[in-house]
Amino acid sequence: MTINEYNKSVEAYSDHIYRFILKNIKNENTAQDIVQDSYEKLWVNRKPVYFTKVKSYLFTTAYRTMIDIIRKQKRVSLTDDYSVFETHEENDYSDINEVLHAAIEKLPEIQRSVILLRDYEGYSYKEIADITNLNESQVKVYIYRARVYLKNYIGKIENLV
Amino acid sequence: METINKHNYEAYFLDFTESNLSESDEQELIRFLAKNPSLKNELNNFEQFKIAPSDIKYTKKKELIKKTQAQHFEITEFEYLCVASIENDINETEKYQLKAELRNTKKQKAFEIFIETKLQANSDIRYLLKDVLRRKYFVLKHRIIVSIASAAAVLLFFIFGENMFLNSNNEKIIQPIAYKQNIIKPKNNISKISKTKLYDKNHTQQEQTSVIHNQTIKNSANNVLAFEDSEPRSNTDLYKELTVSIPEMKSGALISNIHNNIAINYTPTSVAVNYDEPQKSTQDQFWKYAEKGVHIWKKLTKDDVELKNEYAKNGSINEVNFIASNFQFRKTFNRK
Repeated sequence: MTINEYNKSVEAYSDHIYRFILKNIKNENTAQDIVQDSYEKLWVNRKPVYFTKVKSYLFTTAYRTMIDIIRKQKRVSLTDDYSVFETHEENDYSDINEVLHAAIEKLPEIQRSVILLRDYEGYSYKEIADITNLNESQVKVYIYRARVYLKNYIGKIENLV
Repeated sequence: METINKHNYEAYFLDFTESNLSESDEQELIRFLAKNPSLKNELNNFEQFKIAPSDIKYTKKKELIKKTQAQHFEITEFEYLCVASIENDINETEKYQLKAELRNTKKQKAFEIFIETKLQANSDIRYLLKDVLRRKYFVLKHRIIVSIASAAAVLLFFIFGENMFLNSNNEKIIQPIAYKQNIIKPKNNISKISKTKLYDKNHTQQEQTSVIHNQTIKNSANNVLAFEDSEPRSNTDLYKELTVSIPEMKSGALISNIHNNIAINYTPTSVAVNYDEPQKSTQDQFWKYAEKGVHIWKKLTKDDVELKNEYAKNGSINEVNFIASNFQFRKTFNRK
């Protein structure tokens, strides 16, 4: 990858990666650090990385860096257990989008990551599997579970309203 | 076990009512009561206060039970079909099945909620530190060196420099010279002209000479001339030799470009040889080196800069294209 291509990748993907990480960890500074760290790694390893694969490389690097940071901070348990995330808050939503994003925050870490990659970036099961180091079946199961959870969450709020 | 007496009999009575006494203890208790009949009533009172177990049940057990993961992720077939439809992961049979399910208004509503689970990225969230990520220094360096220095150098060369460059070697290059040779004697039907050019160590022309030997026979039929070979006659270190063979030709024939850039004009009385020093080889060589240089530069900097030469069939350069990130320049050589 040339310098020019590297700079193009900054323009093209830094927003996407930042959004993805920010949605996952809800901390702007950490998200910015992760984006910067990912691009630093890309710069160091730019020679063997083809421009066509750079987005996937960046997401994979950012995702793994994020997981490392989360594990170090022990802020979020990396389990697939909703009970950890179920908190009771006042529901004061103005539209369905807010409800949905509130629901995403309550998803287990892994489900949140895969559904964000799926919906935000349009990645296939295979691509998500490569990024998250899961297999395709696991990715599919997590996405299905996440959708059912989100549907139930939205359904509950709608009923309350 | 200690023996029952008036200080401890109550404990025995309690154990008896709760059926906790062993057989031997029971026998001892019976013997004790036989000796103390007044205490029988007290034993009866113990039995009366025994509370029967209640059948009251806690009805909100379900609320207390924590769900296991498996219970959490129980996905009904309908839910599966809905998600499969959203994920575009549904086959024809499942589509038909879902369609049938959606006749139910409640399920229709549930499916609509499923559709709402599709997330939309918030494009307002932007990474604002892109400048930090960009490789400014290198780009600047590249722009300075490639876009200004290289471009300026190449442009200058295109406009003036080629002559300047080549002129700097003018002293080493022999200018085109026309030779005229008088016919002495034709030999056979093969004519031969030989030229020797001599150079000293500094590549400056020192001497030029042409010696013709053995001109003997005239071919009367064709009037064709023959010139024998010449020899480099000098003790100089470097020399170039040029030999041109002329096939049969008639008086007044003009043969041009028969060997590189030599033109020969033949008449019955003379042969005129126009010999152009091959300046283009120096020029071609320059562009070949330039092409290599730019290629090395590109490899080192990983940058978008290229110099492409287009070659003619004879190996000379027809066109030079210089392509940098910000501009492109082309030079075409009109060669005769």
